[in-house]
Amino acid sequence: MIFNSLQFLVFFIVITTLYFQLPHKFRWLLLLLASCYFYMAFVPIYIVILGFTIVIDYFAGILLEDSQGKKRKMYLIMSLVANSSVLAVFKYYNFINFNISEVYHAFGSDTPFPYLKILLPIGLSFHTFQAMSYTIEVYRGNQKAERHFGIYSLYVMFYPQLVAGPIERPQNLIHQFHEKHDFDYSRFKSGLMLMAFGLFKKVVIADRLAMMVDYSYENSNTLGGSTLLIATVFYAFQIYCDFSGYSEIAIGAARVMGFDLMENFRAPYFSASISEFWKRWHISLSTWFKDYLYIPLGGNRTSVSRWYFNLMVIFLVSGLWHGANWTFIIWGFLHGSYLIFAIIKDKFLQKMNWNFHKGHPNTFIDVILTFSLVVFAWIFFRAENVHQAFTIIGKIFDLSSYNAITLGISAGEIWFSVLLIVLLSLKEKYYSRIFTNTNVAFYSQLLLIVFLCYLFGVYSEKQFIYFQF
Amino acid sequence: MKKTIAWLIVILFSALYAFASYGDFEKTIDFRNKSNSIFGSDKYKFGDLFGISYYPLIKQDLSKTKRTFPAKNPTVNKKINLCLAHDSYLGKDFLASKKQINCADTIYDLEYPWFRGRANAPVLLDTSKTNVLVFEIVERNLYRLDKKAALNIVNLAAANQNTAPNPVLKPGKKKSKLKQFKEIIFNTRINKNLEFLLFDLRLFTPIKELKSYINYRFFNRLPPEVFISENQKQEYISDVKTSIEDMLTVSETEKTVALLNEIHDFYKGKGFDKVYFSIVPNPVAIIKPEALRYNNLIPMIQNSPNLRMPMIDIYSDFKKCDADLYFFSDTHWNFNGFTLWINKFNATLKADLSSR
Repeated sequence: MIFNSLQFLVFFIVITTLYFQLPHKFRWLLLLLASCYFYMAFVPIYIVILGFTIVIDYFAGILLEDSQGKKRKMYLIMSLVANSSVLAVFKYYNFINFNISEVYHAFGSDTPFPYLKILLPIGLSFHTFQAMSYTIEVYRGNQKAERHFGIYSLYVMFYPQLVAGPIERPQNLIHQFHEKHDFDYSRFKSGLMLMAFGLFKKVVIADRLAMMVDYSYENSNTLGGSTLLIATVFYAFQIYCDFSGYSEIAIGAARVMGFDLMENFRAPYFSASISEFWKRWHISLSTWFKDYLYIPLGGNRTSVSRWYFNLMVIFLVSGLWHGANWTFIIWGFLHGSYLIFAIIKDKFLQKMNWNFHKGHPNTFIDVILTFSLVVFAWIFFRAENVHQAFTIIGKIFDLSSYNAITLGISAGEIWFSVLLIVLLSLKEKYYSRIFTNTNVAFYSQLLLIVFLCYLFGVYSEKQFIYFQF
Repeated sequence: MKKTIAWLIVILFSALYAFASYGDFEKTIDFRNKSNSIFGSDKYKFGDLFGISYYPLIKQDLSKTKRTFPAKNPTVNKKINLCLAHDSYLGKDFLASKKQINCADTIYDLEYPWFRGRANAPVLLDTSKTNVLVFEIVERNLYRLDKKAALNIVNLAAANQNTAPNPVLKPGKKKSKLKQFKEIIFNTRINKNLEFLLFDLRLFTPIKELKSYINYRFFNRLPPEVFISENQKQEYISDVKTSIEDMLTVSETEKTVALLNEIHDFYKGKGFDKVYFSIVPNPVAIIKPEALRYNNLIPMIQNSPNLRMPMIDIYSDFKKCDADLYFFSDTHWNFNGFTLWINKFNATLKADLSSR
């Protein structure tokens, strides 16, 4: 069940209305059943995998809390291994096997390991990470083990953020399931508005840009550098609108029911540096890596070389988290390299006592430069394989390949997309929150956005990009 | 009061969801198509292609088109037992045409498997009459007619079989209760059903037309199922692009010729006195205002020296005719096209059977 569907609209109306009508003691059950149904609407059988991780981590949490010393560590490791194993089998086994088989081929023989004919369960990396954060926080003593199996299941399965985040922390979410949320009109309004704008980002901007991006990347061998450059810039906005649109619908849907989910995006393309970009892009994942990988590795409170190593590790793992493909690993490597280079550069400037940004920390040039670096890395993220990515890069940097722009779509569509990107940027910069103080303002804006979604939306039942992760 | 409203919302939307989950009922609700109120449907009123695109500048009210059935035409003295395998070109609206097929005593109405999920009703061959089998199919569906479908379309009743039994299609595996339940609970057509229930209402037609107009005029975009002629007068179904984009080789068409011969020989062997085949041309094969390059499928088949299947050839009649033969916003021929076919059909039977 995707957010941009009538099925979800009716589902959401029924569940939300019913939620506020039921006595508090039954609400968790309603949300859990609704979440199961929501997930099973994709591929029913994969609920079994989700059930497996839930059972493992539920008991791991209790055992962790009830035990001391080495046993605690053992239970944590067992839980993390179980979760990682699910990811390894479903997401990485075939990738690893493929790379092993390449080595075997080089020596003239075939891989002894069979390929698994399995489909990646939707949103597997998201809910696995959310489950892992629970056991880690219980181990650290920041979160009490949840004894109510239903509530714990709901923490992993809460339908608004089940398949593409935000990846929540137990300290933020679990207590909210125990609390009673009464209907709050102001939350209802702001939640609905967020959902409407998220939908607009998805169906009007992201899916429109997707037509051009898909066409260009599918025909990258025949198209010129100018077209591929524009397609890649469009992809930057496509993935942003697609993913932030999803997050806004998720956060909005939860807000209507009285839940607060963490912020996932904060106008990331206005970042003046790569480190700032990662504080604004997919915040729930970058903080996950920071809390559970970067800091345990020593963070920046270590030798310089170890610091660089730590940075590179989290970005390589982040790349691998996104997908079992070398393209994602290179994407992570690029971001890691950007950050390390920025640190070296800053140290050098400090040493030389040069300060270019006196009084102007967010210069326009820095924003453009950061955006360019991010866009460059997106080429690997979007490309089908490394070869295609290098072909595209080769063409973009080969000015002689620049010719007429053919994005497989009318000029009107291209200019309209540019207009949408400009309007979106202005809104993000100057009007980050849509005001819904009065009913007139709320309903007129809501109706307008919904009407524009219908009128200018591209409806192709296209799934959200991040579902595949 | 608030509580009552809330429960009403729950009940109403739950019922809507449950109703939309229950199968594919879009085709079964005809009353909305017939209704003239704002709650009626325009999905088919202005043609099936309009129902897909809602492009307002090509919009023909089918109910107001002139229904000119050809005059009754006394054909032959012989009594005819007619089996008519047909697609939608002779279906529903044109079924009144049965009256026009006045040569036949008995007409068996046979539909192709892609329209009808189950086997056709049994056919009784009558040795006291001339048993005639006619296949009518639109050009764009010709590729769907494979040997299996063609040899099973006539469900010959056992009593009449004087040769080997018909290789009737094996009944498909019955779905388990669990699978049926799963298909209802997780109905993959639920979004289409909800759209039909909530928004396939006449009161939304102007908004749909506005969206379609903007998309086409400013973005040159229509739903992928349809496209529009360059002179902006005719809407086509995208299936017909196979008639203009893929050029055919002789060996490709000879495969179709071989299939038609096999169908002919099979049914002759089953006791039919005459077997005919008729291919209704795609509109792009006839209307070419924008110089679309037709792949000549029909003439290549009909002119093949190897063809043994007698053809009711309307391609040449359509090419010669100056009148509009197709609806502008529908996939089908109009009553001019239909009349040409009926006349040709009656004339062919008259010529063939009078001489017997």
